[in-house]
Amino acid sequence: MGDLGRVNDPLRARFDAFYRDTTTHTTSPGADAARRAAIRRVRLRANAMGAVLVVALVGMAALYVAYPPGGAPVTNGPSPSPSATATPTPSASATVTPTPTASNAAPSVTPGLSTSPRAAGPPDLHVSGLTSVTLQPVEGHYAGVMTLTVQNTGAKPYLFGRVYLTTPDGVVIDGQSRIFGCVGVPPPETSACAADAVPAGGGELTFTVGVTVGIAPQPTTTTLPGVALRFTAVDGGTGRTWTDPTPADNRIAVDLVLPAA
Amino acid sequence: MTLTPAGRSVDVATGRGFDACYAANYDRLTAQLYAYIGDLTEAQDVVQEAFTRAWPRWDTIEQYDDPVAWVRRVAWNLARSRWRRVATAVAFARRQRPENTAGPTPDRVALVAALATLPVVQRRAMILHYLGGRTVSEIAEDCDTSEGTVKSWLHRGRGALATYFGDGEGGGL
Repeated sequence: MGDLGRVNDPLRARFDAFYRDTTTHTTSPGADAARRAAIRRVRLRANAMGAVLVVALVGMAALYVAYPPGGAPVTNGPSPSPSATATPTPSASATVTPTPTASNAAPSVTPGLSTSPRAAGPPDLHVSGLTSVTLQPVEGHYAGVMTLTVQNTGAKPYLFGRVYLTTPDGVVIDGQSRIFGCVGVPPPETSACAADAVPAGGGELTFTVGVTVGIAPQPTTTTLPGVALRFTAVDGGTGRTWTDPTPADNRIAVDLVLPAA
Repeated sequence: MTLTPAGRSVDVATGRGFDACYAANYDRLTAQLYAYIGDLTEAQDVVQEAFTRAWPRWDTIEQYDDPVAWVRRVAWNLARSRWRRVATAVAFARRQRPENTAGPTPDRVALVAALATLPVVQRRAMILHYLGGRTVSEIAEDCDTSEGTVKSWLHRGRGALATYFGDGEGGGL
């Protein structure tokens, strides 16, 4: 025992007896048990790391949707001019319906809309809707709703859409369906929003966009051009926008007609 | 032959493989921890936990001059941390609690009771010396203290146990 004496040490006998008695009456679980436990922990750790990675990726995707590169976050259509501060009541928005003008009703049919889905390829969006929407005077300004239909004739599904809005000064987007998370973008477009994905293979979705114009009701009918919407599809795997085979019909320009009060 | 965590086979006969290290040291470490903790099942759990932690890094540990020193240090650290000890015991007991074939003998209980009267540092030094076969210098290294301090612990521990058992001061330093 090295540097401690062993001769005539009664404690030595007690400890030796203790050791013999202990080892005689115990059964070890075995090295295999330790090995299995270690393997189990390694697997659990790997699974936990995988789960954390998935959560992180989902979080990054959500951030990408809410804050695309180059844009500052805004909420539901910021007012670009002081005149747009008037906010319509929900009931006013609900009672106003889009009214096509006689002269502009015909162009509302989407040009070049494919009638059969492509056999393969990326999402191919086609936007249709009224190219002229007549608003109604509501509580000292004009308000109305644009209704758009988007069809996806591509064979490739996508994670979510992105809608780029162009709105002239005084026009405020006020309530929309299937469109969310709007943020400002550099000109010429005004803002970008996330949108529900349109099912591939010829699926369709209808989007509604409420709009108010910060102009007091006028004695004569006025047409306000400059509103446009452009729909794109975003790939969930890369977070990049798909290149649409027919980009021309992804965008629709809408004239807002402000009738005489 | 058995497999290392990395899948490499090792020769048990060399005493360097995980299984060989386990077989050679499990009982010894369990006895030491039992004397220290006072609970045989908990001591077994702590030692098993130490070997479980050793296995994933055994390729590295077996390169050490004294691989079992790593396991022993982990086991003692686990034993010293009551929270970890209890958590380990509970978790391990759910999976595989070994059965002890017989109850403790009176002598075994008496020694555990006597050791329980010692201060923790003296108890550890006594156990490492008498059950672990460690020299004063090795105990000093394990406990991160000087050899003189270890000698003092051992001297006082031996005196206290001798008094407890009525053995006198035989076998002093």
